[in-house]
Amino acid sequence: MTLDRIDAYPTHRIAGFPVRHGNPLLPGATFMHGGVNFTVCSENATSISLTLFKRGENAPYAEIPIPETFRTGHVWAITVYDLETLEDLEYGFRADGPGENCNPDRILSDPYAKLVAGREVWGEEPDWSQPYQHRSRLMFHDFDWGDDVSPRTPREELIIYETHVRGFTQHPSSGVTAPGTYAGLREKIPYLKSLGINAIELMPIFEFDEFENSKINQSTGERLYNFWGYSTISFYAPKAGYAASGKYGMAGDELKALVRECHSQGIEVILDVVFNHTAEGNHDGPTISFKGLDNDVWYMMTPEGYYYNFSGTGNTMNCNHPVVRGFVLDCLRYWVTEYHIDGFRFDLAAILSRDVDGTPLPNPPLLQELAYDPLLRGCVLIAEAWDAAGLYEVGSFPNYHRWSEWNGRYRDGVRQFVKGDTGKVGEMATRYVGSPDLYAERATAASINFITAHDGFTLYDLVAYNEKHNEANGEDNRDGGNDNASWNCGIEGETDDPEINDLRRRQIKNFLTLLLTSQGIPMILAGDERARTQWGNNNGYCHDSELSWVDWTPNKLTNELVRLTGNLTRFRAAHPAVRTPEHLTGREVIPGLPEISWHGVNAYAPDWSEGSRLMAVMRCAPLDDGVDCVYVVANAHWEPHNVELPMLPDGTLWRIAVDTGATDDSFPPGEEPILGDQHTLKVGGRSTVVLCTRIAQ
Amino acid sequence: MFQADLTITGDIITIQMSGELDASSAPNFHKILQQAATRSPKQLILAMSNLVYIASAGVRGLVFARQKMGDDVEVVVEGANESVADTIRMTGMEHAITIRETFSA
Repeated sequence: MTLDRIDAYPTHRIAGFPVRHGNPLLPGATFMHGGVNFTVCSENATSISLTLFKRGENAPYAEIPIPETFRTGHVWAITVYDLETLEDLEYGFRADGPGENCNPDRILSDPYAKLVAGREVWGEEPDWSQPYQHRSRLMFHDFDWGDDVSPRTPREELIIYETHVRGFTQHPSSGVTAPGTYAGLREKIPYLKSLGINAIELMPIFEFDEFENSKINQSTGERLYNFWGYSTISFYAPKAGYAASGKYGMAGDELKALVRECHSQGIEVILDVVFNHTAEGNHDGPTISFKGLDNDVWYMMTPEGYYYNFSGTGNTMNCNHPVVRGFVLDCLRYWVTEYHIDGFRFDLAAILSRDVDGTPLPNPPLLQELAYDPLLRGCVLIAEAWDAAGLYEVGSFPNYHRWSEWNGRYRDGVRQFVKGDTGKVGEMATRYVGSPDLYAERATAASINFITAHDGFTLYDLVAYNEKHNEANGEDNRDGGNDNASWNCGIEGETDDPEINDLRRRQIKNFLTLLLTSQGIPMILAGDERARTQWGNNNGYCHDSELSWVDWTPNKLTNELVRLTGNLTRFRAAHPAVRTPEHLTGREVIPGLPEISWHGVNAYAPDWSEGSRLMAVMRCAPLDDGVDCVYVVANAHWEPHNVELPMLPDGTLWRIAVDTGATDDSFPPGEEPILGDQHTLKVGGRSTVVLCTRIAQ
Repeated sequence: MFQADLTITGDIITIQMSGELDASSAPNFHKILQQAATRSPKQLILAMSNLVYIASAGVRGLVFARQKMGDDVEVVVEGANESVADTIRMTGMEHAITIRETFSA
């Protein structure tokens, strides 16, 4: 005999619906036996009603005022029974209370909405007459995960590939059946696997509005969108417009299918999350959800009542307010448990270290909670350790020995060295071995090494443009960074000059080689391995066009770079010497052989002087049956140099894995040819050479 | 107008579907699926070639069908239009549901 649950029966009838006091411990909308529990928190509201819509309809079919007796503290909770067609139910809240923000004429999205309707098909013009634009929906939790588990790759073995869900496969050349979607990205997993990466970092996929600040560029006629999506509408909902099945309310399933498939191929999924601000903007921005519930709780406000703007986008989320902290933690736990996400990269994370009045905190409660949370314990946590108001915490981000950081100093140092700036050998060397000056107390995995990211030049443009060319953004080239440490190799932009194109090709190879042989976690920007260009635009945030899509059309250059990238990732996997978890010291691996030694034109004689442009380093790591040795020489000088190689024990020979100046630029692990001259190596101008060997024991 | 007719041939159950499977008709579809599940078939065939439209509630019904039937029952979707078949593939259900373009003999 089964006992009927006594808590599954309505106790009241409101607006024709059977209801009962809801469970205030379940935020948002939750399926219950026979009904749905709706919970919303508002300190300001004096009354709240639940508004129910049939899918897409302008007018609600029900308004259910939540009785005062269903309120606990500031939390209003009601369970509603006998709701039909839950697949097509849309809901929101009306909040009434003091102040202009609490306006019952508006319908507010649920901050915990698991799906959001209104933008299910990317770029489809919304019905602007619709009073409720971003409509909360229920999500079913019946996805079959099978035996899915996170790959849990050791951190120092990660190779991250940063990409944009739509931009990755929207180009007609992508050849996938569902371009621009989670499903399309899933079709490209074999490519990612062949490239040898083991983590994808998805630019924002929390629901956002591509039509936010959308406009027509008057000079080109092109419609500009919020393409990147760094402006969250709803933190729990996957961007429905990125799902081919979004119109069926199945964006969550489609994303889960992507994650499951990635995991089955050993690829982790990291989300780029934006908790520093929301799409509600400043006083001129729309009221979507948070503003109408508790403006002063969710946003940092000046004493005069204006929005602080540490994010550069209008408002700043009040991340260390206890209520907001709880929300952020709940949200990340949700993505880890519901979507099996493996890590997060926090946009403008320095904001997460600010107090409610904007003061930077030495021990920010939010960052500490995220660092120690048991459900997030397996996740990689990555901070973009600066914000738009000048707080720069690279190397000093409150980390609890847990957080990694986008290493902006790696990006700058490697760019300057490779383009040939003087006085950069020491800086390059420090960045190359995991930035121990910044992260001495932490593992090498604290440093996320990158040369390019979505923000800024692509790798090809880094070697093809001295200046940004952002005219297509419609802001008279004022937007985007001016300090790019880029060099066009002689001519600005596209050229037929074979020497310049050859130099660019070599410079790209130098960057890829240094990135993938550095200590720390390398991050590749999607498409850089295919020489993706944005024609000098270093701020492609608004372009849903070939400017920001990955072009899959193969040519000689893309074939070469894809092959090199694959060889480098596999080299990294095969050689523990370049990815030690701990920082390298001078200790000996075997007598007379230190784990790291610096060299120059002469062995053991590095040249750190102002005029030097050559860095050479040998790293050695113990193996079960010997010692793994890797020697790298990076010559940023335009002249070739003959370098003396460090001596190896008798019978051990250097093999050549990479030479960016050679026609055959690289070899797969195990197929590296033995170097002809074991004493002196000729390194071409602006070339990088990687040698490897195994000392048997 | 949605219609679903259930026929049983040995241990194969076929549900012939026609009309529009949307939010209002989905509950009927669910009832028929529950009825089918009680018969413990080896195979469930959802014949969709006369289905003119399927809404999100209908696609969700396929997940429901899969889960109601148990692991050892093959669920076959036959004659579904391209959009439905694509949705099944894209949402990762293709491992759990067999898609056939036309009726089996």
